[in-house]
Amino acid sequence: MVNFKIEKLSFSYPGQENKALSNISLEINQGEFIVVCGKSGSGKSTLLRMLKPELSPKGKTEGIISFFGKGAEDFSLRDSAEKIGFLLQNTEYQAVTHSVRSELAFGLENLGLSSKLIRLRIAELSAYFSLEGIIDKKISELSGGQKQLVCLAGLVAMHPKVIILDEPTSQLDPMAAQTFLDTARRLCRENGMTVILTEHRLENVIPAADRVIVLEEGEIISDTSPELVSTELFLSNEFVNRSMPVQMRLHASLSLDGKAPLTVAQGQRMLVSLVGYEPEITVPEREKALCVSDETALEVKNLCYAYDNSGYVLKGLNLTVKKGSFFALMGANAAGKTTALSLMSGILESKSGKINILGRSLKKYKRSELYNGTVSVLPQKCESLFAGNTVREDLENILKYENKNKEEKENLIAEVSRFTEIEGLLDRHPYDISGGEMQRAALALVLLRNPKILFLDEPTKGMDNLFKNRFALKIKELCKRGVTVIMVSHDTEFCAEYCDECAMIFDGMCALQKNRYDFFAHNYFYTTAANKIAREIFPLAVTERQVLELCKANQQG
Amino acid sequence: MGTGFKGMHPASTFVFFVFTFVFSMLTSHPLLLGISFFCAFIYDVKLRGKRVVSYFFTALLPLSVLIALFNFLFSHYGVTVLFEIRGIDFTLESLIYGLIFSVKTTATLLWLDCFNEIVTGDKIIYLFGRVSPKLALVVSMVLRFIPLIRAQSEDIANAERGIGIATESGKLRGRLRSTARRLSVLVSWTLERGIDTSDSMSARGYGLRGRTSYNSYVFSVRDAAVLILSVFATIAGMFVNSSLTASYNPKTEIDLPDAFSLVLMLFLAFIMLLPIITDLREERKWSISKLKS
Repeated sequence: MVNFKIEKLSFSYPGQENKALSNISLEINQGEFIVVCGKSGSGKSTLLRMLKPELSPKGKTEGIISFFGKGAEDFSLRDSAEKIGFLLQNTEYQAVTHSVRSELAFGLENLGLSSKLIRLRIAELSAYFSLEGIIDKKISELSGGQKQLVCLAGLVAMHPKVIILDEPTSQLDPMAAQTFLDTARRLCRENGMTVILTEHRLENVIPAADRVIVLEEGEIISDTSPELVSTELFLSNEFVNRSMPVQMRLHASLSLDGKAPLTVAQGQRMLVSLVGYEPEITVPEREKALCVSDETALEVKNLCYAYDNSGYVLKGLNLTVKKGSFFALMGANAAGKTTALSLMSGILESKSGKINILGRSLKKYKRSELYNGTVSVLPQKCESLFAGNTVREDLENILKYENKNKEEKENLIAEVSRFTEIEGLLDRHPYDISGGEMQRAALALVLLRNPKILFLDEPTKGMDNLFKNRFALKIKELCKRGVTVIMVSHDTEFCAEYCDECAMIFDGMCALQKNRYDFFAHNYFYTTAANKIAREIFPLAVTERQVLELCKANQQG
Repeated sequence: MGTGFKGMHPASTFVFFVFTFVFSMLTSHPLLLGISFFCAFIYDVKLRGKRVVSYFFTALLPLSVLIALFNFLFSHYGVTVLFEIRGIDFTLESLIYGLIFSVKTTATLLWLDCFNEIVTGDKIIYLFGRVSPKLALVVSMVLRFIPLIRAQSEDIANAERGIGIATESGKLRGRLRSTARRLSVLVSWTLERGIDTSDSMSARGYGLRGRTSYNSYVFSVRDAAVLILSVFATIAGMFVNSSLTASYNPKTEIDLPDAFSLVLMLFLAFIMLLPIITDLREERKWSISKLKS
């Protein structure tokens, strides 16, 4: 059955010249798992919203969309509610009621099911989604991953034909993201639901997809099976090049023939067939950390912290961070990473333990001194930073009390916006720009303070790989100027590729602190995809580049 | 669904809270207000535990002091002049009324806190969803956003601190400006997130005809009793309120209760303690049945 048929659809938002979508033709069939990808601002969300009449943006629309064989006028709101489930980008606010149980019931009540039937559906759902343990909890008590699953369950309860997911895993840690995607995939495979989703991080999604649609500036530039995307577009499109899973990128960079490997296991096989089990060269070259000095920027000794009576979050954390290094603090969800960050940056205060910043105890800093040029923090929910009507207004507000004339201030803003690539966004409202763009604007705000130590809480959430790469180069540039950057992150690929040192928090203590290569090379689960693929052959290779170079070296020799 | 008072029929609990709000807002008699404040406080502590104490000391008490101070500084009615500055009289009456008014506000806010815990959004939708979906949507959204806004406000404060634009000490003007900024962020944030939530509701068919309810609340004799008692209590409250004078202008006149109003007062106190009595009885029942088994 055809779910959607789109013919020559173009759309532009009111008051904007360029088209958000242009000339889109598309047919989506029952039971397909479709990934829609593209750079941030390429029109992914707009396209998804076009498929759900209640949420379709208002603006100038040309072309035809038909839903389940009906024209847009004949497709009633009841039809739409019954057949199409939509998970919003900001799932924090997708939940409308206070408890898990009533959240699951909400849609069914709207459709007018009897209370007996609703009870049955909830029973069935909680078995399928393993919600038994949390069914009576409040929504606010759930972890991010649980919340997301409950929201999905709330949609599935209505037995829709199609579920549309707008960046469902961008706010989740890798484990929770995987669980969520597995569930979506099961719904598609086992129940024949159509799943349409957008995502920035494509590594995990691509192997699950039947079909990948790539958007660029509102146009479809590719609509094909996942195996073929990388071969078709690898050289011509930088976004695709950067975003594909490691095994596919290796396949393309080594210009191999045949279908690209989709999974890690297939990637392992590809590598074996390429260099055999015992190649000559197995030790990868390491990039040296260029800018790290011997001076200590931050020293944490025996740091403890507890919220209320719920037990210690940190139980004697020790860390040393060198000046000018790019340092990553990793660990599972709720391991205390963000707490550690808040303590180190002075936002929270601890009764026990020592923190030295640039050789001085944190307690001896005055607030005004600490946050004006010594320490800056980029919080996880960076929307909290914006208050103005435009991004520019917020940037100006930071410089308000500094002793500089107007021209100097304008220059500073121009410089920092060039650095973070937000020149085009300066006159937009902070809430109107996309998640990735907001992250960049927030970085600009923080950088205007010119800090010596920069704290980042999950900065790569919601960034596509293309920008992540540029972001890392920018951080490196800051490090070269002597800025120390301390980041809390879940993003193993990013940390392995760019950080100088990584530390893992477990059980309130630092379980491991090492340079990035040694840190990842000995982990089995908590490591990069490149390492997983190459483990049997090149156990010390951690990054994709290392694996690639080893392959090439062995092929030549 | 919940047990104890929380498990009762939404209509009964809703009417009960309407009574507490009306009573706390209308009355100005210190004894009546004292009863209301006391009952609200202990029930809130029962519901939310220690957090209430910190909520009381960090938010409610400063607010009360502010209200009392404002009234004292800017209202100058009354006959008992305490002192005079530049020809302006500062009176005992305005001081007392300021205090009374702040107790009134605090009691109402505490009841609101309990209300939030008991009459959750889905109950509001249950009660009003079929009569007026739009009204129910707005009310349930407001209720759901209260805790979210609280958390967000803390996030904003921390975020501002981290980039050095929070003004926590120093000049009053700077601090006022900083507070105004935070408020404006909160408002735009709330509106923005409100749109998300209403999107999510309409995407799931809210507002379609023939909405049903999953929670099949049974209206029992107990529920009827609470409902009727609450209605009676509202009437009794109004009666006591009108029979006992409590006036602060021009002179403080507070009637002491006679026997009849004392009885009514005891009745009112009993009604206001009803939730906590229900909850405690329920808890005892289960702990005893545990011992026996």
